[in-house]
Amino acid sequence: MEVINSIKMQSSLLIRKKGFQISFLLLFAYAMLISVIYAYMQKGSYTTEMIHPAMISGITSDVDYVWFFCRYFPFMAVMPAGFSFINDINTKTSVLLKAQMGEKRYYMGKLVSVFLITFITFTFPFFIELLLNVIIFPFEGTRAATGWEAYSLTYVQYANNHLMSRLFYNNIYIYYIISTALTGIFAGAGAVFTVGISSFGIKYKAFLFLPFYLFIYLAENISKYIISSYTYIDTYITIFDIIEGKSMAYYLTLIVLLMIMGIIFTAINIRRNETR
Amino acid sequence: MGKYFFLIICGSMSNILNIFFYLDITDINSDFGTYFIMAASLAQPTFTSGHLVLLMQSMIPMFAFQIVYGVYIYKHFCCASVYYFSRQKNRTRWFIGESVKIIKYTAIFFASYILTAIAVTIGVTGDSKVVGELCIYTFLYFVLYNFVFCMLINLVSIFTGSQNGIIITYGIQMASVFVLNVFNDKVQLTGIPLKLFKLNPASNLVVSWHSSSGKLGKYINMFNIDFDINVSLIYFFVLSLIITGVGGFIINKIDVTLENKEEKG
Repeated sequence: MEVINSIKMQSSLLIRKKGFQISFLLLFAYAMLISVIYAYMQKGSYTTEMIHPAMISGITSDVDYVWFFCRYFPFMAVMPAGFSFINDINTKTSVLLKAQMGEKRYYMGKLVSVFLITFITFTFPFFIELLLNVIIFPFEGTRAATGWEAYSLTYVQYANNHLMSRLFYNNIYIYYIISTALTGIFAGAGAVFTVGISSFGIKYKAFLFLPFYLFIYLAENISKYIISSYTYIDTYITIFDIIEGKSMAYYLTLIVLLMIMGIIFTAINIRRNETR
Repeated sequence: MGKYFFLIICGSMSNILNIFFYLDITDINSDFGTYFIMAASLAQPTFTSGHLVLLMQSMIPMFAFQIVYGVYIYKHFCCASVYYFSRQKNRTRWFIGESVKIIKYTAIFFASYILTAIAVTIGVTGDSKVVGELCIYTFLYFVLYNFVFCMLINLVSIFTGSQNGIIITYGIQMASVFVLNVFNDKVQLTGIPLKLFKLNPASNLVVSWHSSSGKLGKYINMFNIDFDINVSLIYFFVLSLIITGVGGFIINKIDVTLENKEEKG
């Protein structure tokens, strides 16, 4: 019960921080911008030639400017909650909270709240976008962002390469929600990893941008030579991606690896502080 | 000594990673034996989003370097700043001294980066005809470019904290690469767009987009535009003079007793 209180308390602290507010607003603005751009682009075209509302989103892989998002992704994942541990030390909040709720509960609450806040930052803007797109764009529009009919025989050949293609065939909205949530989980895992690194006593906040960035860089390039599936993260964090040879196992392994490393680093530092 | 050794190792490692991760031999002029040098100097044949993404991916070692050395001057503001600056007689002179140190580290890092590229090129292709000139220009561009952005991160960090310094400068660099995408099909590289293209730091960084009257000319100049290779050198040189000058000026304006932050920056 007290762990839940700790999570609640630290999450509400994080929500009031500028880092979360700015990154949430940036992503929200980006998502809205994509909708507006596509509303203008499709102005005056027949409803049957329009793109399906669920396939216009800031993280649909065929939408223009999505690689904009992909390049900022590792940096944005750190922004909402990655600095929370260093901030707590700076403002001496950590001493207070540790005394109040105990060290283990503090760290547990910290990791969970960091994960939750980053998850919210990366999913809610796109959920709201889906809601607005469904209202704005007509349901008669059935095309994918590439221009093919979304459920035509031509597109289905490519749709088989989606990460969860069976879900896509059953219900496009559930596919959208679950794959966006997966992106959020990946970002959250990155934030947990960053907080784990920051518990080593990193002195400058700027250095915290490096671990997740380098992790992605090395993971996608080194595993290219080890496993046979496609390893570039851009194709995993975007949805409706039609590049061949992606593997769910690789993606989930990365997520679990990041989480476990974050938790282990934090655990090491709890023990180190106790023995001091 | 350990610091230099670390820099050299990191420089050559980042080059090896770049060459083997982002080399796209099929797109580069097949007459040219020095593919590896071209890969090291960030050569991209078009402005399509795919190639620009590759360009940005191969700039990752630079960003890593900038993050590490972006706190080199700023760190004195984080720890005992009043003690430190009350013992500096002339802050501008101190600032210029620190800038020279940053440029020294940048030079070591990219020297090892370029030397690795040369070693790999000669080792793999056995061709070293035009390597020299291209390498010197790449080296100078990289050093000056990274120096400018390292200093910018330091100066922005003093006012806003190091995380915002990184975000702002990374934003500027990424945006300057993204902007090049308009030259893919929407805008022709003539007239005013060409002038804007020449002002963009990202387009100045890539040697193979320049023109040269010398022997190097027929290998580079991928878009057949009039963009002299020496002009960019002057451009970066002027930028670094400006940033050092501005830094030397504003470093005196900072009230250390008010800006004193005894915390992790």
